[in-house]
Amino acid sequence: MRFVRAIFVLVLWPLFSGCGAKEDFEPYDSKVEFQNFLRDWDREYHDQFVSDQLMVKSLEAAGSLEKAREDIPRLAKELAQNASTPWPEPLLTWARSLPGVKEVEKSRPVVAGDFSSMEKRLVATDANWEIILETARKKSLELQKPGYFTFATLADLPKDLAWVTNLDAPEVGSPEAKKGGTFHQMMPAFPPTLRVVGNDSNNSFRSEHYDNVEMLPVEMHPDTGEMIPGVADRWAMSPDERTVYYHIDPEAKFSDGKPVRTEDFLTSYYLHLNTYTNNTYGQQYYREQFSHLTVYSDSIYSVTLKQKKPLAPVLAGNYPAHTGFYSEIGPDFDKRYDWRCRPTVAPYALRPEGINKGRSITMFRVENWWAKDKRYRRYRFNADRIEHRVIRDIPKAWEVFRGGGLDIFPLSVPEYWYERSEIPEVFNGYIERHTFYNVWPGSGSGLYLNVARPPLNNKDVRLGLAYACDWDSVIKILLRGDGVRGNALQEGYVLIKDPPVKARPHDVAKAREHFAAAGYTIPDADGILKNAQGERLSVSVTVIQIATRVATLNLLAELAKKAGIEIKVDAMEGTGAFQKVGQKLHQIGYNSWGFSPPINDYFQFLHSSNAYEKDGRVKTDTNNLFSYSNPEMDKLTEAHRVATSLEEMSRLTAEIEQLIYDEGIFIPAVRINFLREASWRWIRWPEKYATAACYIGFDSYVWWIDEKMREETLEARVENRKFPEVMAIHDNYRNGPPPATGEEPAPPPPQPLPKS
Amino acid sequence: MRLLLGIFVLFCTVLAMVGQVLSSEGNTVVFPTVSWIFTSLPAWQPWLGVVLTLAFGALGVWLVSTRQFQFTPMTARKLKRFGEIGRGVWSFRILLVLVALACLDQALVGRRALAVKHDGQWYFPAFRKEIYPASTFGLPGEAETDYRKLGELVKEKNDGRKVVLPLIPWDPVSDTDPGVAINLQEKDGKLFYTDGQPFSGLAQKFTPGENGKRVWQARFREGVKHLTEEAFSPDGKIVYNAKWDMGRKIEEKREEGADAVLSMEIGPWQEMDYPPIAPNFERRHYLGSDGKGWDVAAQLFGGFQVILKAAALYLLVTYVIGTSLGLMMGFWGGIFDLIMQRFIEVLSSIPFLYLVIILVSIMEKENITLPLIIGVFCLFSWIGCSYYMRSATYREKARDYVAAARVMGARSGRIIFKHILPNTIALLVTLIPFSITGISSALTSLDFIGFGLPEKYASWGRLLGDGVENLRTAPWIVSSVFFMIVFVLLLVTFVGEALREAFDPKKFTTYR
Repeated sequence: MRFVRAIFVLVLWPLFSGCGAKEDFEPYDSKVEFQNFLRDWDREYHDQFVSDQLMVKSLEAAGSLEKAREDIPRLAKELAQNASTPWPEPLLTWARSLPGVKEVEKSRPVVAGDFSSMEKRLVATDANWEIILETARKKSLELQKPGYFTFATLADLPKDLAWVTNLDAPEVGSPEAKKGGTFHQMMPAFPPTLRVVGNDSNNSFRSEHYDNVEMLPVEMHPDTGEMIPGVADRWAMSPDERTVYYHIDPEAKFSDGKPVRTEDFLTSYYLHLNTYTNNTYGQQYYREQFSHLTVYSDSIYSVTLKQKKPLAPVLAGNYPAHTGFYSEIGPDFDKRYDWRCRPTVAPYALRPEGINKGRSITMFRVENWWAKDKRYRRYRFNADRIEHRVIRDIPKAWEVFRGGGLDIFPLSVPEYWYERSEIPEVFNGYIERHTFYNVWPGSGSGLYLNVARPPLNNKDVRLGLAYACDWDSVIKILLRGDGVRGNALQEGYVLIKDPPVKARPHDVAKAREHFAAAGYTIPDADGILKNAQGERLSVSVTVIQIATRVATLNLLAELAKKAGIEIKVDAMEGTGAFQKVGQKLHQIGYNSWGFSPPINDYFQFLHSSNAYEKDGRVKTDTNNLFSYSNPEMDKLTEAHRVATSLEEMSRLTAEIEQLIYDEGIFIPAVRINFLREASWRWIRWPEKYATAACYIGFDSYVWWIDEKMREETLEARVENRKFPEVMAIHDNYRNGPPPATGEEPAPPPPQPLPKS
Repeated sequence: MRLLLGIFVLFCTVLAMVGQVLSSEGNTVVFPTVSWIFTSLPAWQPWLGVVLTLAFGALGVWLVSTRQFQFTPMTARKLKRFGEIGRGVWSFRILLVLVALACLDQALVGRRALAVKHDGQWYFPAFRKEIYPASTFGLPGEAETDYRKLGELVKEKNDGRKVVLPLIPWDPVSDTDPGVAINLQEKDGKLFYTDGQPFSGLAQKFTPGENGKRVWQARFREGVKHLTEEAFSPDGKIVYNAKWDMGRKIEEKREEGADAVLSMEIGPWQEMDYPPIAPNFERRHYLGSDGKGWDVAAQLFGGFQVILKAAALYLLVTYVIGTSLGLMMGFWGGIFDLIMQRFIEVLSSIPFLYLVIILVSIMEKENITLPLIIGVFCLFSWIGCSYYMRSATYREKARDYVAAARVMGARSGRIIFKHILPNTIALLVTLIPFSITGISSALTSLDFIGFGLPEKYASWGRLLGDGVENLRTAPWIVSSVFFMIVFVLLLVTFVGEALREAFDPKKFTTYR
């Protein structure tokens, strides 16, 4: 008996307990918290709105700098010191009369805080009355309503809105596309979670099941960059171009059949902004960008931006989140939602049976997907299943691909393109090679010089280093001559003109001139220059331990010796390198970013508020890897951030890049403006290959699988039959994307809202 | 043998001293290996170098002059027995030859020329610490002279100048061969290799001159253009492209600036042989190059040197600490033994690999040095050695001769080092070779997983990693480094086996 029990305990119990351990979370209901959230976020905006208005009113009442210097500190002091002090009567009456304002008392602490910070600006020696008043007025206009979430009725909807549907842009993909089949793709590591917010959610698999397939209300046409309908079938802009009205497609449904409603967009806000997910970036973003959101009905809502923005309908939208699915957001959100498969409006959905932990994830095409017959989408998303297999090693993945276990393989590494892919499978035409010129911004790949660390605080050293780096040899030797030298930090944006600056070429003589100007004149025993104090001209570059990157730096270092500078390669494992650069402990970082279209951003990389804390310490965990602070640059980046037109952005981009060039804080590396891929013969592509704006061909989802060809190819391989070799260049988008259909489309006449 | 050893030590000392005497400010003479005494020491080296040289010299003089130094009959018999085990002896001899070759250092492997005759004057760049800028030999620039290029130039011009390069004229690390251009011949509209084979592959044309830019590029199959053909403007943009089907042009596209490029003066069709470069005697890549363009043979040589240095340092530290602590624990026993044993238990529960990973991430990888890594190894390695010594000492101290020595009034130090140590030394001697294989494979595997020494040290582990990555395209990398690792480890193991057999006490005594 004891023996039987032992067997049970040792063998059967772990087996069964393992099966039962799937979902053992306590039930949790976040509906009340969701309601509270809508109210609390409201309150912050309510208080801020009252405060902004009161500030302007008080300043206007003071009328002059001298008077304001007296009035404002007094008000601030009174409000802060004693909660029971009555408001100054005229102000109180006025504040209560503002439209929508209900509780003035609640805003008390915010107002007090704002008043005391205004006090500091007023007493500053260079305070300018006109500018202070103007800034306060501008700020008071940013928030249009005393609340973030506003609930209104259809009657409140402006009557004369010009609704846009834009169904005139060219179709995406090919009408010949066939549905069906399973597509196999590799991923280097199994994702730590399937959540889209919270800890570890920013992993590389997230884009496969979220960013690349999930739908926004309004999206950009992948070829022309025009705005096209997404989850919203029509949208409209207010006359001041700050408010976007969305009308949700009545057919839009989640993969579980639930129709998409405006509440799902509110849930999306809650998902990103609730207290449990700790999404600081999201909180900052929504606070800085948006004034308020108004819900008019189940299918109509609007978003108001703080400032006018190009492409507002795209930028103001967010992915709908299934309200029922996200009704258990609590303290254990991270664990609870780690492996849950969310219902989605996207063509592909995760399902529990597709998840094979540690090995693969298969995504399934949604049966009767709501948008399967919609324009722009009917010829895309053709495969029934997409399997992502974990293969950690690139050379191994290549062998798996050769065996037919993967359908597509990126050949961006020149060695693979020129040498490793010269194989019988290619010569016999089973595997086809493609070069595709895509339209995608450069990744800002280059050397980021930390000016807080000597000797890089010396401009001559920076300029000398720029001349000492021989990128041409890197291109010639490591990239086999492919790839173009980058010229600027941010370039290759379709909508924004490339800045006219040209990167400094390799020039040993000029490098030595600059080093001499910095005081490095005496050659050491090994030819490295020293200054009069005996300090060697030596810098260290922090880089992630990736073979190609380390090889690039090693070659640069070897060749830079000719100019008398020593470059040490500080290759670190990924997390370590990120941390080191994040802490600004690096001298130079060899970095690149995942810049994505349509609009560039300089503020986070160059503004002094991202370089130093107020007390002068270096600010950590920001993207200003230069530790660069310059009032002139601050002005430019601030202006770029609030620029309202693309022309203005292009002009500011050119000015900022010129300043970066003059200061020599960034040394651009190599840019590759095409992608190269090998795919098996049965993966068919439209005539123009992928869409203009795709990062890799797979992301465009315009390919399809031809099962007949698959059988034919596999048979041919056994019988050693040959097909013609295919090596195609698709250069339709080499000089940018195709022009949008016509000029700016004339706004359609006002029309009554369709009944929904 | 003693005399030979003594003379050798004296010779090294004299060489080091001569080098130092010949040196002056800005002109340091560097003889292979022996100069390490002076050049590889920390900044406070001048007097330490002198002291070390004198100590070394004294050792040589003592070895030559002394007559007292004699092996005990027992040891002599063991050595004789070792001499009779052929495989062990031959392995030992081969190892000695390898070590001697490794000691030749820059005289055998390196980018600097051994000797250059220029304007009737002889220069010896390899034996000098400071560099000769290219301007010394009439080449442009202040950077160090490229002696391989100078050699080619001299050969071409034949103007009485001379350049003697080492056998392998490549540095073990950071000496990239950008690749070789192989000229192709055009005949009757077809492209051939120089040996007459029709060309299949990618051919390119460059602007004439040294750093020629790529202008044309086309794929060929059986000597005719097939698939794609492209022309590039000087800033790397494609200005012309055409599609071909076995020599028949299907389509062509010209863009702005195409005419200027098409009319440019350009060289012949060439095939570029990029790294990894196959073994090539002309360029003196006897074992080819790796994926980075670094010479494989030079890296094997450099890696062997690193392993020798590592082994020497490791053995010294491990065995000095391990032996003395083991002896003390065994001899004194009691509370000292108890505390040390607990300390060892704590120490041995620290995961070594994590320690190295943490260390590498705290220090910049570039700042990691060989002594540092060996230091981390030695933190743990002495434990094994001390275990053996402790148990052996426990056994020996109970024997009669120890009691006799104590009765005669010998102090602990004398008993430990004069009586117990010589009787347990056999154990150590047999352990040493296996420690060497241990440290070599540990260093190699650390480098292989990317947590070892920085790139300025040559490494078999990294070479192996590179070889595995290029397994299909460059089998010569893996095969060379695999052969070398197996060969050296086998030799050391053979020596170890023979030593163990020779020192096996069962051959000479019988226990009752």
